[in-house]
Amino acid sequence: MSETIKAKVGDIFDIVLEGNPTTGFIWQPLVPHEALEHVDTYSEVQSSLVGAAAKQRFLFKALAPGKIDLVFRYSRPWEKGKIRDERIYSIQIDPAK
Amino acid sequence: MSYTIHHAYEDCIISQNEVLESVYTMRFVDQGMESLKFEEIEEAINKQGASWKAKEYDFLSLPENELAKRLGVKLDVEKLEKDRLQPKPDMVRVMADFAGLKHKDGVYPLSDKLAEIIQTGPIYIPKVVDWRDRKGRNNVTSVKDQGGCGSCVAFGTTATLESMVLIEHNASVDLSEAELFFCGGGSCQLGWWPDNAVTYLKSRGISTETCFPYHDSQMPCNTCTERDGEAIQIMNSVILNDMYSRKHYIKNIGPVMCVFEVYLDFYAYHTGVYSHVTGSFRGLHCVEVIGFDDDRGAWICKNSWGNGWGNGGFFLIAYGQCAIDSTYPFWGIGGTRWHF
Repeated sequence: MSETIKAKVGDIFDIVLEGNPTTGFIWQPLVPHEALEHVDTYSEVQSSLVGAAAKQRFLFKALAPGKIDLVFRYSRPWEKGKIRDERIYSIQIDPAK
Repeated sequence: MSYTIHHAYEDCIISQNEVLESVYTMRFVDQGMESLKFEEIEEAINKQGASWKAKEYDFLSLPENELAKRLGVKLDVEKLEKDRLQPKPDMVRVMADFAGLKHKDGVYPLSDKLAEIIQTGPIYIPKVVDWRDRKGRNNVTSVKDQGGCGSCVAFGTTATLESMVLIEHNASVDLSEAELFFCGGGSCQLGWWPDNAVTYLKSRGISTETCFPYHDSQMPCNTCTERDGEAIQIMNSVILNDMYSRKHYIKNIGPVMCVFEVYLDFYAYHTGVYSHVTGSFRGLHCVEVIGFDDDRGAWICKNSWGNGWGNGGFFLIAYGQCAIDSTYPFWGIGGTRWHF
């Protein structure tokens, strides 16, 4: 089941994913979309301790109208084919008014 | 009070003074383009004269268009400062303590062992020490995998403890990271700190993997009924800040635990001596240091990301890189014994 995000052309919206990069697992957007620009990523470590998890906030800018399925995968880069988690966001981009 | 360190890619070493000047909160800000492209990592390696090789993974070829990444981490700077200000250890005394020699009011009775320590201990430190091949055997247990839980402190500490049992008793044991982490107060989400792991090993010790098997999600403390009969605890620990004490300890006593900062390019490490060349900060990590190589200017370490990562799960990291020598101590543990 995917979460739906609505935006208008020119809007900047964010997607927040929780993970723990100190374990070797990282979130990555699977494919680029011409209608979206990945403009920024913020990561915030959740504690002062060693091995703490982090929230990754991906910022996207809506460039063109349409409907897009944006896929994120949580995996270790060297473990081919092993996907720990997957999130799909359905992005509905409407024309700017 | 907080302040910002502008953090250039070319230099991931945060000076001791910068860290000590801050109070409780540090904020790392990475600015500029960041790329995950394999070719760009290779280019950065070549440009900076780094001597490691990256492995090309699927994610490295995914296009990214990130203008900046910003990361925040809060450190207990007061605790770090307290550790750093600890007096330089008297290595003869450390070796005598770890060898189990008894003293009265700080005076050790003369013995053959003490004479051996005094004569051979501090004098000569070889260029290369690797506990995988030392004293005629491998003193490093197999590479483990912490999975998706932030339990690296338990894995680094348990790996070091297993090495010390091999060195001190010539006994191979598979000890329970789960007990250390989940009974000691670790959190998959929030992480842990090596001091807490050392305290638990001193007070309770840990049982075997069979007694409390590890799974990579938060677990209740649930050891087996035979736990107390098979747990191994430690009698000694030491914090090592300076290079001489670290190498002296590793040469004469055994492996240690360390903490360092992980950057994005670390995921792509394959072989050689790792140094940070590109990519933003991802978090703090703890591993076992199993030796050093002065010819290559590096610590030899065992990671806990399985044997598919890096060089069969092992890696070399250049001295001074990623705050390994400037900010975080090494922790030595020993005097292992069965807990009764």
